[in-house]
Amino acid sequence: MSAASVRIEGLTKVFYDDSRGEVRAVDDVHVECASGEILGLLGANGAGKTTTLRMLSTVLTPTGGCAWVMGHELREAPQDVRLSIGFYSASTALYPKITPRETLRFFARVNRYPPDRVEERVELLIDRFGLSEYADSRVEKLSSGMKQKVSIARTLAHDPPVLIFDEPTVALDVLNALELREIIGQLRDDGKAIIFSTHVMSEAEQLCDRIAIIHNGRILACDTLDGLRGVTGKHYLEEIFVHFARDSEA
Amino acid sequence: MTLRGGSKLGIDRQVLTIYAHELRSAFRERNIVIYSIVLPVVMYPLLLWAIFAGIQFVQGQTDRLESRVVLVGLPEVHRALADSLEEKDGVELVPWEDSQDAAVSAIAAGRLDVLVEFAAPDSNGVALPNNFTVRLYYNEARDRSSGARARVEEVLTDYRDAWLDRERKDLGVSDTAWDDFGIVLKNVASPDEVVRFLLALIIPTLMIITVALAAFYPAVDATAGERERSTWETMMTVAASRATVATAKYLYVATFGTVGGLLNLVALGLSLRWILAPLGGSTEELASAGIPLSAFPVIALGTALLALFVAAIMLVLAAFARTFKEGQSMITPFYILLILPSMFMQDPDMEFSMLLASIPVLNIILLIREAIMGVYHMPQIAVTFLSQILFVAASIGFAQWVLRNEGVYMGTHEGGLGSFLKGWFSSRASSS
Amino acid sequence: MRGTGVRAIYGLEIRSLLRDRRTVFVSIVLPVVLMPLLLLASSRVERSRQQREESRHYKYAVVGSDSTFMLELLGDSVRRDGGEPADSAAPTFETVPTTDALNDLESRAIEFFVESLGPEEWRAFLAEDTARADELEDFHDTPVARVNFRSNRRSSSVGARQLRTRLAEIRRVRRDSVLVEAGFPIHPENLATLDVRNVASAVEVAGARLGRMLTLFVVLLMMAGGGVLATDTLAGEKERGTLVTLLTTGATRAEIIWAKLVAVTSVALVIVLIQIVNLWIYLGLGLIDVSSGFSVSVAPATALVLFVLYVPVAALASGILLITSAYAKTYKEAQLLFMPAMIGLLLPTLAPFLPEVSLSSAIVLVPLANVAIAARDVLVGQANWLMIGIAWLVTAAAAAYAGRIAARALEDENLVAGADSDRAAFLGGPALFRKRVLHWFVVFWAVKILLEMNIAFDDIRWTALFHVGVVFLAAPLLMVWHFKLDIREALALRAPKAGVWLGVVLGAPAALIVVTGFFQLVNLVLPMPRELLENFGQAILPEGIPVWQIVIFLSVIPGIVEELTFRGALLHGLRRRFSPVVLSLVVGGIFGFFHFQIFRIPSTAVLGVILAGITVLTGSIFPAMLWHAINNALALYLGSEGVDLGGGTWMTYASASVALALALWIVWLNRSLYPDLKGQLPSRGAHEHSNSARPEPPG
Repeated sequence: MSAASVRIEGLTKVFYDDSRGEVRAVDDVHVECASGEILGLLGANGAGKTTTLRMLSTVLTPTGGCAWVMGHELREAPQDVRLSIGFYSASTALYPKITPRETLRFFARVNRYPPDRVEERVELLIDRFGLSEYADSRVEKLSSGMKQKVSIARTLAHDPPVLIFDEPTVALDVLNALELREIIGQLRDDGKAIIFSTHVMSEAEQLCDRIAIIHNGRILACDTLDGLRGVTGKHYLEEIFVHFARDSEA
Repeated sequence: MTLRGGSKLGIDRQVLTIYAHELRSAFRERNIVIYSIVLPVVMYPLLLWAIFAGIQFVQGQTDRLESRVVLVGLPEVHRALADSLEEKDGVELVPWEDSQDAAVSAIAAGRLDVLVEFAAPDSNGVALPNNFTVRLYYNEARDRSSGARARVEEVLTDYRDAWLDRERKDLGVSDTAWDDFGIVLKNVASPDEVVRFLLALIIPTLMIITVALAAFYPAVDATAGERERSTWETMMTVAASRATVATAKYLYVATFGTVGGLLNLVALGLSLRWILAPLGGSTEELASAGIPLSAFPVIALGTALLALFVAAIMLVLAAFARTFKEGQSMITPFYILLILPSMFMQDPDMEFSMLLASIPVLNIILLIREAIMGVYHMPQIAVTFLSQILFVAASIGFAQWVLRNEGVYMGTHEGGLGSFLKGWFSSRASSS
Repeated sequence: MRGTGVRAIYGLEIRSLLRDRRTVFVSIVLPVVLMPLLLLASSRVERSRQQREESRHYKYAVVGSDSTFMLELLGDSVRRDGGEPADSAAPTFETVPTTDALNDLESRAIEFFVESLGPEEWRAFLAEDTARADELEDFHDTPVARVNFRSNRRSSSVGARQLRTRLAEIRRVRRDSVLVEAGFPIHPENLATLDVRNVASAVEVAGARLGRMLTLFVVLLMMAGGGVLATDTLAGEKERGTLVTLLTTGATRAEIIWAKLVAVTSVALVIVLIQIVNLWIYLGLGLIDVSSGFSVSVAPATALVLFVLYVPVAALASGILLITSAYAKTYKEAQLLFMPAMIGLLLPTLAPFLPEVSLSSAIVLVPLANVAIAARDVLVGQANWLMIGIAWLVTAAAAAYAGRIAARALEDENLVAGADSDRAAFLGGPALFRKRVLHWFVVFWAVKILLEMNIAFDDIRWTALFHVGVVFLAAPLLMVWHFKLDIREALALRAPKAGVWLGVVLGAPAALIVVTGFFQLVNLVLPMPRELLENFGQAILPEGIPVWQIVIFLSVIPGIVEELTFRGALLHGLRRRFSPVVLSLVVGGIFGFFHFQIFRIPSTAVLGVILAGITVLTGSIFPAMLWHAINNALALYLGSEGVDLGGGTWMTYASASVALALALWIVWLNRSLYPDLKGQLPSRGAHEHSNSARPEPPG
């Protein structure tokens, strides 16, 4: 087993559909992500980003291949995988009737954070994410930016070594997105392994240590930005992406 | 009928377009189709079948149960009584060696059903030789024992009557003097009338329920549902006035209420006739029984008026909801308020007076009931329609007034109708 | 499973519920306020109606040739009306003159009228009515009082019956005096007197009455109370997106379901408690007096036992609700599933209505039904604690199992993630047919029963042709047309191997005997009511119809069209959903249910299973058609010849079973399997079909 916090080997997801027959949403994906590293999954809508991350977070079961999170295999020990990750996506909402403080407390407990240190952790997160102003109002009353912050804080409730963010900035305005990117950067510095998906080129350029370009369920390339520039001879990520995408379809 | 209700609001091509759009989407929405259309068609036969099958099943089980009867101290001259008990279907005479107390406790425990104990008659009866008195022990807490009691009592009564008949013959009382006079009951109502009477007992209440139920989902869906799907704002930005949109939605909800109610009437009429057949008469006679076609215009009009009223209130209530669930809980109290009185205050002898004809909803119940029975009190019908139309107009006016509020219309108002009214009253109080 | 995880989720559920004020109001506060109000109102209405009936003043008329005699008889009552009423609670009667009694009755001027008929009139009337000819024998030329009423008016039927009772009483008194005058030594009322003694105490009787209803009532309250949370908790969470959040945390599926189960259960129990206490208070304060049977005083110890007994019931009800919630993709869908779940749960609670069901029988193994009976036993005061303990455990185990099923639904990624939208629904066609075929059959069943109830022709041939020929033919054709199916594929219109026919000809008569034997066997467990049993053998062939027509209308046409419906369309639609054996059972069972009579369902289902099996084995509808037609023709023929198949010895049934087995073996040897089944059986001839029977082309 390598030192990588997350290792994906040949992960495949095939849907069987009555009318379309076999649909390979994710096809033989190989990637790794070490702690203190941000891996960006870059792809167009429907490329297989979400399906990959959903498999990694055990929401979907892979039809082929393996993946290890902190040494736990997805299908063999899904429970241990879940304990090691914090997962955030557009489809993971917050409970509307409870407050941010209660939310953090709840997720810390449910994720088996040592009970005697839960309060301490909750305070820490409230402090760090600047939630104190509205920590005791119900989530349903918060604005979407506030909710987003609470959501991210929620993934950290149990201090997991691996964070999986599926298009975290998609619904945010410029300022909120910027703030979120800063937070993600800080989390990397804390030594987390972070995998996040996006279709925003600039975001990937700024934030990612390595970028995996995914198209039609396949990983077309995975390298640092400079590495990708070297291979393609193009400078901008957008050009690089188009290069690979056109290439694969040709 | 929708045209008439809507003409006050100004029906035009746009209203019809939106109305058609709403109807089309409704027919593609599973819940609405199921609650408004499929449920009445499937539910009644299924339910009635289940009831019938259940009754037959229980009856079969009951018939199978033998009544375990113990006779104690039967005089030899009355041997024939034991014989007729033995011959009686479902009675089994159990030989009993133990004490009588043991038999009583066996009945209490359910191991025996009836103990028949013969004893000497009291002083009033001793003058007749061989007379006796019977003590019959049974257990009312057990069906089997109660059933056994009925079977045994029947045999005992028959035996006593036969005995009395023998005695009077011996005394020379003639048949004619003994029979004295005959008593016969004759029902001069035709089977059709009986069936209609029974239908009239059940259907009006169910009409209220189904009209409300059929309007319920469309009302929530046309407001909260649209907000949930974020199609509300799309609708707001089309080149139609708000009144147009509201009118179209209103007509659509009312249409569903009416159609659901009428469909239910047909389904129920068809299923119930079968159930009621044994009460009414032979099947041939019943072939024509049922709700007279001539009653349909009155019933349909009554149903439509009811639906127009229900739809207006439900729309106002649901207009405050932002989610489907919220909409449901906002409408539910009204729904309960609407149907419960009609469910629990049934009185078949209630007369359709002018006073009752002016009470909304209740007047529709009575109107439909009389129409099913084939009775038409024209003044009451007129008053009913008049009062119901006034009521519909008032509820539409109220709906328009509430929906004129920006916050309500756009769904930004916090809380329901209650809080809205409270807010309005307090703002008026402070301004004056 | 860890306590902290369960506690955290439980706390979250309850807190979220309590903070949803509107839901709490609608589902808890409103019912608590409304229930006593309703009981109060309905008992008031009922009481005032009773009072009105008891003290009612009836106007009626006496008509007919002998009316003076009748008026004299009734004079007592009439006179009483003139003066002060003796007993204010008793109804009073008043005669009014009439010229047209029937008309007055209709116009409500009178409630009923007594026709006083002379002996000759009555004799003439009886002679005319052939159905009452035997009454003529016992008629001894007495006058007759005929009370005419209208049963479509309550006051009329109630009043007429009350007058009849009064007349009977008058007659009894007159008779008794005749007998005494003739010299009977005692007053007739002292002859063979009957003294009925109830050995059950008032508590036991009330307990039996209450015990019959209690579980039904309690489960109803539980469903109403727990339902709101249950539908919201899984289905609602799916819709709001919080379920995925929860599922990617470190809480195990078992912890999640367990916490939710406990939450729903505790809400259900609390609501039941609140409602019962609520009722108790109102009953105790005398605000409501429900009919005397229910004013039962339950000892605290009994109440405690009942509460303990109802804990697993609440858990089971919650478990079932959670399953519906877990399998629904949205809140709306969960609500839709709520109704069938509720009916399914309420059905077993009707068990105490069955006569003489003891807990010391197989019923102890039926969850819910066993607790319902245990509750009744406890209330009657005849508890068998061992059996009650078993009942408790069985229901608790069922609740745990329901929880497991719900937990399994959380593993289903299609349900949880709402992964792919329903493409089948989008595209329509054969793929959609497979999904919808059962829905279609439910509606078809209801339509069929409605048609049978309401449409009958004078000629039995037309009736048969309509209900079998038209309706059963229309259904499969409608499905073929609606879903754009290939008609030959869908209805299995292909030739079987030749050897199959031998098996059919041998098997059909044998199966008829076996099925009849099975019917007898079922009748032991599911006895028919006597009345029905008597009518059952009397389905005689209609007279005056040529034999060949009977064969066509009652055996050939049903053989063809019923097969097209069940072994054709239904089997085709379900073929990929169940393994071949289960497929045959399901198709046969549904066929049974289309024979509405519950006592016929099991035996026709057996025939249906055999026919479905034949179709699966031969891949063709035709052998089943022939089998079905032979079966009907033979049954009709034997019936008309008076041969009772039910009277066979066990030897008859055994040899018929051997013959049937032989026939099925012949079919097996000549099999060419139905194409495209789920988990194909080992087959010889399957390949013949596989070319023509590719799964539908895409689109």
